[in-house]
Amino acid sequence: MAGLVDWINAISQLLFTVVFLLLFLGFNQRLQVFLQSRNISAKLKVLETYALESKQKTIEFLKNNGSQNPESVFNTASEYFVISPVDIEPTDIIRRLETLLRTQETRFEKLVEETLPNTDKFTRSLALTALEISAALNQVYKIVRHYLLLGRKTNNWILIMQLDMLMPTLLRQAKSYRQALDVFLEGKPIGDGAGPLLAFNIVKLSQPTEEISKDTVYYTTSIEERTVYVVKAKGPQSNVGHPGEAVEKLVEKLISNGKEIGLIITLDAALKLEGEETGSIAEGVGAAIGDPGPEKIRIERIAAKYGIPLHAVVIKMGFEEAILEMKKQVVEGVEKAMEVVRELIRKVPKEKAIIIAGIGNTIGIA
Amino acid sequence: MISNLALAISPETQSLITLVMMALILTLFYYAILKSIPPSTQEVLTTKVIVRCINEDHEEQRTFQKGMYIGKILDEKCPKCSSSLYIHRIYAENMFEEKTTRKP
Repeated sequence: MAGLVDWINAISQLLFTVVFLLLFLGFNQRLQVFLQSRNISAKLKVLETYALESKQKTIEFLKNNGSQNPESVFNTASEYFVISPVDIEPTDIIRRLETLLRTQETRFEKLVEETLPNTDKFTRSLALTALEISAALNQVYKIVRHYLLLGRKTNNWILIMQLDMLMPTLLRQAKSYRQALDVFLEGKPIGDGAGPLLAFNIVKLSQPTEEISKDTVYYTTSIEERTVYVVKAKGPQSNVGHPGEAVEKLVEKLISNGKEIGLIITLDAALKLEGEETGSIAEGVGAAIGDPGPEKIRIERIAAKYGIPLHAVVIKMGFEEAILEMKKQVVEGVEKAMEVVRELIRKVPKEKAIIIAGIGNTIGIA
Repeated sequence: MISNLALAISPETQSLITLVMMALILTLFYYAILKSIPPSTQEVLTTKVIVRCINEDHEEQRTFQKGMYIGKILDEKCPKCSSSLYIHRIYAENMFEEKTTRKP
């Protein structure tokens, strides 16, 4: 028994010395890189599955709707890129950015139109959204793989550690995108459609007055004895329209017809902070619109040009809730937001017109 | 009293007790880590469609089918006033939360 104790003591002392020396040789970091890169690899497999599944679903959708070259269309869309405009010379950057975004939009629309010539606008909009979601998932997968391989190649434990810490968030967002693909292909309204839903609640089943800009319509109605012009993307296809351009054109048109505008209200879905309730509402000032800039600036500029008060009402929700099917809490939030809108309208003199813009993707909402 | 007891135990037994205690501490540590990870919850959503009469005197609930959208006027008539029916709302409701344990 005494011999065994001696052996245990000798082995534990040897182990302690070896571990102590390895610590000075950076073994702990190498072990950390090994464990973390193994963890990233496992999560990368999940990202790959999401990317492959969405690719398969998109190609299947294109095939089922008569596409002859779904793989080629998918490859073009998934590798498509937009080069950001030069920002060290900011003059006219918004116009340049808008040109690039519109060119991308037209290119994608043509791509889908050419491959699905005998389908309606609704189906084409679904195909377009499916291609965009699949391209996003493919990009996320490729970027994570790139940083993992780069981190391993250069033995950069800081890179690996950062990537490992980012993985849960990336995985959560990728999962939402993957689920969103199914929701879009079924044509269900999504959380981001809160703005268009509020617009629909105001105009109900009435017909739009005019398609004022591409895929964006406006309605004329009356609330609290004031004339109200409601702008929204044209539904029920997957579409966000060009609300900035539409509001700008509408203001110019009304003013040239001798009308006075007393208020512009933008209604949109907004990301909630953790702990906040889904469907809670908030009122503020400015243009509530989440585009890269060109649409938002048009609303700001036109409001500033004519000195029109610009108010915003937002319905709060999480990132996943914004791109997945609309929840009951969001619908209830839209109803509460209507009361805020009415309150704002009552403060405007009766002879002045009001513009309400429901911002967001109008899929599943007429 | 305790020091007397320690002296009474042979060094071999002391070593074994130390090993057992270390194993016990490690097991408890692992168990504490497992317990500290909250179980992830998976929402189970069901899509509801609310159909309403344009005169707002009748409302009913249906299940979602492809092709349905908010504002769609249906071919059917209202059982009360024979006016048109339209889709008033489509939303997802949380039935219950499924708890799934996460691997450490």
